[in-house]
Amino acid sequence: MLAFLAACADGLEPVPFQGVSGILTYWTEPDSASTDWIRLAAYPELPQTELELLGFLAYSDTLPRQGPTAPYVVPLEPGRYEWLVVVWKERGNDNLLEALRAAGWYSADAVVFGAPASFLVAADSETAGIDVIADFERMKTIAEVLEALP
Amino acid sequence: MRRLALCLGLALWAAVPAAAQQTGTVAGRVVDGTTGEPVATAAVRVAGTVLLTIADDSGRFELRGVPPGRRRLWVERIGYAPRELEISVGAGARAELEIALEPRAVALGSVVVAATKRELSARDAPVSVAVLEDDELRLRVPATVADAVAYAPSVQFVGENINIRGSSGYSRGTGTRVLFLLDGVPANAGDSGGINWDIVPLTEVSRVEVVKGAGSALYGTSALGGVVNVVTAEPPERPITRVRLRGGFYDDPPQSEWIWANQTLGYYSAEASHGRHLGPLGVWLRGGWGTDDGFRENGDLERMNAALRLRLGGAADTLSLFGSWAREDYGAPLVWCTRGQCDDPNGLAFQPLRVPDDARDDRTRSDKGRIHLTHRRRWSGPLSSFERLSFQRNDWESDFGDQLVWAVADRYGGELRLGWQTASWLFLTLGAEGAYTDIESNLFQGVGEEPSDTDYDIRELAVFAQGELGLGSWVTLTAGVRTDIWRARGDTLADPSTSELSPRLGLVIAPDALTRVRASVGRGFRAPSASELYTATRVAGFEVERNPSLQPEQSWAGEVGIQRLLTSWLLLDVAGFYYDFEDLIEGDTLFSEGAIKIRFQNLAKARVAGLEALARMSLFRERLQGHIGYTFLDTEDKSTGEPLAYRPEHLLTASGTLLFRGVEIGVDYRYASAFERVQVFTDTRLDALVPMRELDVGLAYRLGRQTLRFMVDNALNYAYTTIERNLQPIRRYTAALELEF
Repeated sequence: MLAFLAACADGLEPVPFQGVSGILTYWTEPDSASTDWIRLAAYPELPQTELELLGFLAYSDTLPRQGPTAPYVVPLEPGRYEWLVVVWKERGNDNLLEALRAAGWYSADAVVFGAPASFLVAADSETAGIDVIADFERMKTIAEVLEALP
Repeated sequence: MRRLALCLGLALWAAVPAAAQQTGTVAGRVVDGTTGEPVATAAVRVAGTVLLTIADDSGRFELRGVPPGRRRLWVERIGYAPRELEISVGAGARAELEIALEPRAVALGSVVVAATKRELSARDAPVSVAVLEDDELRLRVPATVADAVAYAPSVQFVGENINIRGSSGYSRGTGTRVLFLLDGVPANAGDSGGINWDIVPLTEVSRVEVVKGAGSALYGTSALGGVVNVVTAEPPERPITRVRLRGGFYDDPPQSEWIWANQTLGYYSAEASHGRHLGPLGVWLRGGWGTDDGFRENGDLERMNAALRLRLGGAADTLSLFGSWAREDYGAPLVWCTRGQCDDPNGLAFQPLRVPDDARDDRTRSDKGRIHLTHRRRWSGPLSSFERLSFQRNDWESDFGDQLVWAVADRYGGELRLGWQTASWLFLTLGAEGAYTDIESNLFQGVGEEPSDTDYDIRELAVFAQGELGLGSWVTLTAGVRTDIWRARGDTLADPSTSELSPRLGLVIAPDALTRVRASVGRGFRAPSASELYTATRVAGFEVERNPSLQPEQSWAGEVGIQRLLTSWLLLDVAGFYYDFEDLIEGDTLFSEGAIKIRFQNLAKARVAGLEALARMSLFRERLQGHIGYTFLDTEDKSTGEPLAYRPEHLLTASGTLLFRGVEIGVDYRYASAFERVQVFTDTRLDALVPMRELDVGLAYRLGRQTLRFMVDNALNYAYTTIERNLQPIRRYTAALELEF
């Protein structure tokens, strides 16, 4: 009976991480008192509208408010991602159009607001080394982000 | 409904003159047919009437008011073959009998109280009842009563929630659709409505009754899906001291990538109790301590408890006092660690035995204290009475690093109940019950809100009546109704209140001593707990929004069942059941700005339909005993058409015990199919839904009154969850030594 039951043992098994990881570098640090949270969000397409921008599908856990650096991970479905952005939210403001700012995004030339760079996530694997720089003194509003993106 | 109550009352009133008719008395002693020793707690019943009694410790019984003529007497006790006798009763005469029962191990004839608030054989209850006797409770070396109850057929634990026939699901520790009774006295926590199983020490539990189906007609709120009654042991006549030492360790995790500790993780406990009589006063004193490293990070636990039971008087007039206190101090991680939340060299999506770095020091301290005083009296006439007073305090605090949350809830309760044998064919139960709960908690303060002086309390008042009617020689009809007034106070804008009428009708057909057919239909309700109404907090990534306009949830529940002793070694019980829920209170979950927000709402109309089959066997001169229980559940959220969350479709329990020359080998297997739906983490890659498969193997050696036990729990080292991101305990090895002097 033991053998029969053991053969039926279809329990949980280790699952490899699937997504993107890297280091967030704090070029400048945010004002801790006014910070609700900081996260990284990934987008398969470059958002063209406020609605697309606010439609978070994949994001990291909240990240530290102080640097100089912090590791991050974002679990993702396999595929190509066009934009990985550092999102800051103002404390006490629930109007997301006003409360959210972009503090930097992933770019091939490793600058805060350079040209967005894409990356690939393969099935059952981690795309590592996608490092991002954030400058919390030069954050962009949603309108400024939409203007800056191609 | 009110008309039903009025009709019931008139019927009961009309029955009173019948009590005056000339009747006889049947008395005697029940003994073991092999040894001649008295048999205590045998149920003795006159067929075709509602006259029944339970034999006392010396096997004595007495039944008054028996109609004259030839009568059939049924005698049952667990461990013995049921017996049917033909007797002749004379008007005004007294028949004295000695009834010998032949031992037989098929579990039959357990006495229960919770089904009708009156002691009767579980087989004569109009609803399904599972009874765990003291031997069964200790067999698997459990740490708490909950560990033992988990083996009952049709019962599954989902997280800390007990789930009877799929009624409960998972409610995040707030509210339960099962009423928890301790010696018949309500013992759910005053703030959350949940069950603190450690409030009663396992060593002094005599039996646990699990009543399935809506029980609000007798018990009011919370008894929506069932009732669990823990009956504590009576103080012994002769002095007895018991010591139980228990220890063990966890095996390695089933996957080497999940190993997180470089040392053996173990657990130990010691319990001692002493019972005796000091003149007319019976006393049980008990204390215990235990510690557990836990099988996962920050999963350690330390537990202490003490209990006192006093009993004064005999079977006819008993005053009892029960007091207990329990403390638990434990690590309280809410979820396991996912990638990035802790340092994982294996780079896995999740580490089920580790917790996020910021939850490594999260802890909860929980104190529970209760005292209840009960008085039972059997008056010289056809009356019996029961009164009780109770007090329970639940005091806990959880430290989540950046936030300390706490609550203190005091619950005061009282009940007055009369049992009235108005005629041989009618037994009445009439009663009134009240409770007042006072709650203080910073959970009700709200995120970013200033502390306030708001008082939170809940008031409950109820009256109930039940009639048990013998109709002809085969049929017993039970009709009851209860009305409850419930009111919560804490938010002046939207304080909820309700009055509820809960009727129940039950039928038992007993064509012979071996067969029972039962049917029942009843209404149940559950008022929201204070936690569901007023909690407004944000802890460890979860945010709960208050909803003080919550209304009680309601149900209609019905079942039809048949039980028959097919052969001398096989008992079969089959039941079909159906629950129809309205205004079901469910935690509505949504993700917002990366936080998990939960708000309790009256969301769903839902139904649960099911089939339950149980076979009990006793073979090879009682050396091999066992049972197989299967439950099929079909659930539906009527608003979406989806299955209800946290309910399995199939539940199976199988248990076998082989006894040979003082050695006892036991095997238990529990299976629950994977949930079709959960509520919080629904990514099936990260949070795969797998079945529950738990195999436990035990061995015990008895030498006189001393017992040595070994146990392997989760022998397959099978990895599964019942709530998301919380792994169930991995394989563990336990040894226990039970000494009795």
